Amino acid sequence: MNIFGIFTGHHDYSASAVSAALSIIGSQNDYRCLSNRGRDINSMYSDIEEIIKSSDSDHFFVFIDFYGSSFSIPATRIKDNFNKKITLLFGYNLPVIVDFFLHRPNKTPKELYDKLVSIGKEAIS
Amino acid sequence: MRIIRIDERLIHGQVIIGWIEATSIRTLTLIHNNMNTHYLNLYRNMIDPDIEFLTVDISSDNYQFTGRENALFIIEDIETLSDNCSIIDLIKPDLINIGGIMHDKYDIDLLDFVKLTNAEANELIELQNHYSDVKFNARELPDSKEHNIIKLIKKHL
Repeated sequence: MNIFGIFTGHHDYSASAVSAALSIIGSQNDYRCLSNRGRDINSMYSDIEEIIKSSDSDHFFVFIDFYGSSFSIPATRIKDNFNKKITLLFGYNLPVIVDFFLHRPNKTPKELYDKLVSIGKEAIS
Repeated sequence: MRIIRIDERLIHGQVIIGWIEATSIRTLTLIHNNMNTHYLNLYRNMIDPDIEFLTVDISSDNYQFTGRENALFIIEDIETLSDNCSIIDLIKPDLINIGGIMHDKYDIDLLDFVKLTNAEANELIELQNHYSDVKFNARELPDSKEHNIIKLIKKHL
């Protein structure tokens, strides 16, 4: 199964965090970073929708910087409208991003979600 | 202090952290027009349980506003507020704050976070004329730069 990653967040958070992760594991395909800067709620929804519609990936992980951030509602609407193809993950850190790229080729979306939530929590000590 | 905040994103990071955590606001009211329960619950879950969270559906008859004195009322757009002036009459706000309006199609680019159509600009001027004892500003966060939104609009019209 091909899983696409959509990383969203305030200002440069997603692009910077993913860039940091790629500096560790090397370049990757099938991902995009989105910022809320200058975007209204509908534009944020359209930005995600456009990626999904233009990709032939089987499944999409949408990462939101924290529950309650401005991407939360657009991402939830995406989940409501594309249901089975979407997994939402709120609150992501560097280990989560690294493990998303490392483990997505050989896990189901459910297995990957469980792994990432566990890794994200364990990474904080 | 009673504040009506106009923000097309409704409740989000700036509101949850920037306003509620940094001020003495104890009640947050989401003013909506027939929003479904699923989304109301999503917003409710964003708010710290110590904060009183209320919702008011303006599509229902005889809506009322309750809550404590230090209260923030969030509404989606200028048009809804302008079409339902009873909201202002009932709340009696000290401040009407423009927190974020960023349409794709706008006529006036006032600030990074405020881009209005001509209709919205005129509605805001009319509101200010009618409620001259209420302060109007544009400000993202309590400690960020405060803009005189009415003065800015008048410069552009």
